[in-house]
Amino acid sequence: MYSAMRALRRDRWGYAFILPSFVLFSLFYLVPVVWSGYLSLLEYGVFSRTWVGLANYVEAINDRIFRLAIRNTILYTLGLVPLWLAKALIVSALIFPLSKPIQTFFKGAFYLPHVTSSVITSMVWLWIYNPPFGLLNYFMEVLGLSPHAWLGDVRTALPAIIFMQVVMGGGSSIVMITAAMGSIPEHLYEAAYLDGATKTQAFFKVTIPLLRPTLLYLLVTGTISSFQVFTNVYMMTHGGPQFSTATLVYLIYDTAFKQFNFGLASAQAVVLFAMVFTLALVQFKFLGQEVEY
Amino acid sequence: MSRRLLVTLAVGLVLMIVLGTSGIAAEAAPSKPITITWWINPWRIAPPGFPEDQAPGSEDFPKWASEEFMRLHPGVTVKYEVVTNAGFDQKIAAAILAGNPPDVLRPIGFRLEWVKQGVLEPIDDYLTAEDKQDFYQYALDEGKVNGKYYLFPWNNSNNGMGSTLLLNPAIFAERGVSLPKLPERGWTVDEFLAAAKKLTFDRDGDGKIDVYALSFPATDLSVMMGWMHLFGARLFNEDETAIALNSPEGVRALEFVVDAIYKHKIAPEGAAGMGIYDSINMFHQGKTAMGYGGPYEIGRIDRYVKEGSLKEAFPVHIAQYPHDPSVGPFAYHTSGGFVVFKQRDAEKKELVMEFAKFLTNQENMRLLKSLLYVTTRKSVNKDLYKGSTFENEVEVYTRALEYGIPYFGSSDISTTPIDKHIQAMFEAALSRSKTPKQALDEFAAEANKIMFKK
Repeated sequence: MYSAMRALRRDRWGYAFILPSFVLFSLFYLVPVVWSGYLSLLEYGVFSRTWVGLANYVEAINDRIFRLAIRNTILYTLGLVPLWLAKALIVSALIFPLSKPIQTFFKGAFYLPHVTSSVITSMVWLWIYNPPFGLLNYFMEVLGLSPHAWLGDVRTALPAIIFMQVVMGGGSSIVMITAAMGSIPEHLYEAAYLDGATKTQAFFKVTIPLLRPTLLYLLVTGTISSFQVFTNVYMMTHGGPQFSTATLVYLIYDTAFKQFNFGLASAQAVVLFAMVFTLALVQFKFLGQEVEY
Repeated sequence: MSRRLLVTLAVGLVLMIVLGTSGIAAEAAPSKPITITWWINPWRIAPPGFPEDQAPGSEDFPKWASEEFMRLHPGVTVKYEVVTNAGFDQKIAAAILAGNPPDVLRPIGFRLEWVKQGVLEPIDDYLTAEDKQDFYQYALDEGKVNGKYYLFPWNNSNNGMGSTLLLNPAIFAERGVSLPKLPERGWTVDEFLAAAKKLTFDRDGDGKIDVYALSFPATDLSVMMGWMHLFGARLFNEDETAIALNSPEGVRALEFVVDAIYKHKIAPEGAAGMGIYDSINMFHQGKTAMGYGGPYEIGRIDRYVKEGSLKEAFPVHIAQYPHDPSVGPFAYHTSGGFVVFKQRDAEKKELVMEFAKFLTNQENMRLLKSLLYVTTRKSVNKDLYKGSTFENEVEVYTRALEYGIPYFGSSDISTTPIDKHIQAMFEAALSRSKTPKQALDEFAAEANKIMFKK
């Protein structure tokens, strides 16, 4: 206790500097998370709060649409994150050897969609996927193929959203990967080439292993953000057709703001939190080995 | 004696004047400063005196209404907020939960849930006998729950979606198809189908269809529920205790829609992914001969031209949905209006109610004309469009409303929990991943479970 107090006094300026950030974090993240855990145990009305224990969790798990939303969210994550990372890795590997100005141009170009509102990008892709006069179906017809209702078919709606995200996303990952590539010591590549490694072998045996901490970070944050997908679904499909694109966050929104069932929505949110937390732990456990160079 | 009587009368008269005056003053100015807040989604209504050559913005009407009410009620401050359609529900829900909703709101669709949660004021005491006579009963019923009224009716319908069709007379003339006859512009299913087949054609001879008769936006429930009423199906049974849409009439109606796309090919495929704006765009671009909506949708064309998103305006006529002769015509009965949230202060409550009445009085309701909206007051509608260019179209529309049906049941029942299942049913049938009967039966089973615990 005494030593803790002494450490606190010693590091008081450090704590003072992080205090504003911690207060804001607590106010806007920590408290709402804990509060939603509490709400999930209530039947929450405007003027009444009735304790219902785990009834909201039981209702959520027994709901077919909720189970479907979990499945869709997992499929979306499995489809998106590897493609997203692969795209970022390939693009980074291709632009890294280029001169600084060209590299910066490409980094900026790939980063641009990241600063564009996802509402706007969704609107653009809605037009691309539009069945009667969308750009994609226009090219399909030019190639002699039949047009398709990309967002109106249960088989293609979720892949269409994933494809859009793969094309539009990955900008910040490219910036981070190229930065990490720049910090890999040159002598490691020289040693590899002296030992007779080809460029491809050097990429897989030197670059990839040394990028592991960055890739792990991107994998964890990518998984978390893809579990939270909402705007694209809300703008493009509203969870349809036939709930094939209903994701967890979209369902939480629907339950809370359309059905006004805040207790059930909180239970759904807690389940989402538990899933993401577990996944992040697993990812750190299996991929989070220390890298030294 | 007579002098004493004279003095008494004089004193009485003075007292009456003083008391009377103070009475008027108390009514005119509140005993303390009062602030009324109200929210409305964007309505581009031209307030009185608005320049005719300009397009009104969404702020013009609420700004005028607030200022006008403040002018008429000294001591009262009225604050408005224009809430965008996107995110409207979230914002209201958050405000209600935070215990800080506006005093008056024009909701996008009346919410039974709010009445159940006890956040709305009943307005029965503020509706005069004249009001009750003047408002259409269906409009009053829109906000009637357990025998009490909660909505000051204002506008008719949701743009006329699900009530009537729009026709492009140029395409009808190009294909030699005559328009349904005035004054009702009604047609039977057979007449409609025959016309629709002619209206679907390859204009440039490249072997591809350039113009379809119409489109089916599966995600627009009002429009699609209109088609479900073709042969007399209803969403609920008579006493609203079970889903009835999977009746033989319902299955026949959904089969008609599916056949229209895949057998008769009068509408493009891909309907399962289409929303109402896809349909509107196709109609505006001449890719369909028919669209959806009422007079407001004619006004939308002019607005789009002014905004530059549509090249040129084109004439449009309104017609009924087709009907089966054994069932008769039908249209969607719905209305919008203003609700008043719970008030704690009695004096403020009176003023808030007064403000809601002010917004929906005869004079101010006439302002809806600038949006080509039909109002919910008989007295206003009687002559609102008389002599205007749109007189015939409004006449067709209001006549169609005489066959109105509340597609989603009475206001005592909320379809919110099953809306997404209705949409999924249409998507399944229109993409042919399920037969109409399968889609309807599965929907009925799921919806009965959710709504009636069956």
